[in-house]
Amino acid sequence: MLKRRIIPCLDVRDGRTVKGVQFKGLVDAGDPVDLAARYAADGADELCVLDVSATLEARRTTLDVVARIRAVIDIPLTVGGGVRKTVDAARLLEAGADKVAVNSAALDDPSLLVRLADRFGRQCVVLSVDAARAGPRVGDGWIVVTHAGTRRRGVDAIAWCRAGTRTVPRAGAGEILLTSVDRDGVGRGYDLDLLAAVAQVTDVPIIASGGGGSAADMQAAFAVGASAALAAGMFHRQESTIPGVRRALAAHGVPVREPVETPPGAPIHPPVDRPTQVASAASAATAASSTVSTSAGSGPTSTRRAIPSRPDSESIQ
Amino acid sequence: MIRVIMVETGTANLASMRAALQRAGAEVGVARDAAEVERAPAVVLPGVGTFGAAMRTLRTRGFDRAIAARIAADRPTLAVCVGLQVLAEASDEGGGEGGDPIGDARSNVAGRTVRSSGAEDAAPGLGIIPGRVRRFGSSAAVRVPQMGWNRIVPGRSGGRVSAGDAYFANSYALDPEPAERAGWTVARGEYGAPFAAAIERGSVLGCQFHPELSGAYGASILESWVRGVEQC
Repeated sequence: MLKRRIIPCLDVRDGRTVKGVQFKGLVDAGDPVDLAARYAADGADELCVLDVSATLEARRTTLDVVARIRAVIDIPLTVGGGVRKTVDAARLLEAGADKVAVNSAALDDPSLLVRLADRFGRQCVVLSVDAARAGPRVGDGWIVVTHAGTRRRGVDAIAWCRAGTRTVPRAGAGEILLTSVDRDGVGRGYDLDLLAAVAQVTDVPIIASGGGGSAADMQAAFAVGASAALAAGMFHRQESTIPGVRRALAAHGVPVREPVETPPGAPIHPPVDRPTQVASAASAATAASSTVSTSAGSGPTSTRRAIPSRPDSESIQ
Repeated sequence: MIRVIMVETGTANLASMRAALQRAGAEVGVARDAAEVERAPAVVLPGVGTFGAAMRTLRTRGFDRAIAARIAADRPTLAVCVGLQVLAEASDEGGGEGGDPIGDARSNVAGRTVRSSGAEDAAPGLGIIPGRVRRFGSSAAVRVPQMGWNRIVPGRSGGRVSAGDAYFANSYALDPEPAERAGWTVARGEYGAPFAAAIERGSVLGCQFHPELSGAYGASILESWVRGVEQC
């Protein structure tokens, strides 16, 4: 059975990890290479790096960050931000990305998705959709927004998810990164109505994003059809650890990966190429997280949240 | 230090495989010509892209025969994802256009455009491993592409591939039975139906999953393969 994925996300700007609320008020959250190494060592199923830099020069910095992350992780890496042409995707892949996420450029020119799938394979192309509720009721639907949530595109988000991932007449994206702008950074849980609506119109895997603050939030997203749950702040702020979230999910019957422990006497993995300071940061983080997680059990991953648990969190606590 | 030669199929990024092989203790180069692909002590056929595109590149550069010859001679060869699929007899992924059949309507095989009637139409592979590459049947529970970590059940006759969770990113996979009947050791995965997660015989190892992206589990398989090369 395919396991549900836990995906830490690093928003990177000018070579640093940043985190905001509803795409605004960015604060520094550390060195992305250190964080990536720590999350990979902690058992993240995949990593996502989104370049939120504003300038072309800063984007070149991101290529360097991607290359340095690739050297220290052995899990899949999705990179998005600023992909407007096939050559942009090619540069990210050459630097060490395994998948590229495309957002506003695909809206401007939907054939970009097909061109990327033609060249790199559909499994390499992630359609990144930032969706905002069009009104207070579920029936009002969602519209696509771009440019850090500032620009409303007048496009129905559900229809766009369907169109961008279809295989007829030609294949488009092979995965959707679906972010609720309303929930981003708020920690009130994913927009489950949005996830459920998109799950009905596409066969490709969906990564839930925006609002994830606990294992309970992730479980709820999986229950409505998400294949993966992306989270940033809850991990950056160390409110939760990946092993703690994984244990909580497993305890509630969610299929999750069993990371392999390096057997005693086996060569240290990875044996070469990891800069010393990264290795020590990763092992320190591993030690710290195992200390936390021994006392974590199935619940406390979310008890330190500033925002009280919602009723649907009860199922996991 | 063991030098591993990677075969470029033109569509694939090699960065992840290169980094993983280096971590496994190998020095990594890229194949320059067919003679090198046939004779090098260790060759990796990495697998990103599409069946049709990969086959076209292999044929154009004469790598198809070189790969067949080195596998016939049991020289250490690692084939990953689409790299494994091209060793099969044929694939339902007829075209080089995208990772999926273009709605089973249009496909492009080895440069010529053909009308496809769906699964009846197949693009030929190298025919080294018996069997055909088929598309996963999609449903609410089986989203396609298969994207993520899935359980691997080792083949009955052992092999390098042990039980564990490995990372997959594929819409197509080989049937396990024909390869097994022909004497290959086949590890299985399950995605709607059983599929071949890894196929090996002697010094040849084919992985439908991505060992270079499969954490410590994948690293141990790569290390074991590189160690095997050293002993050859």
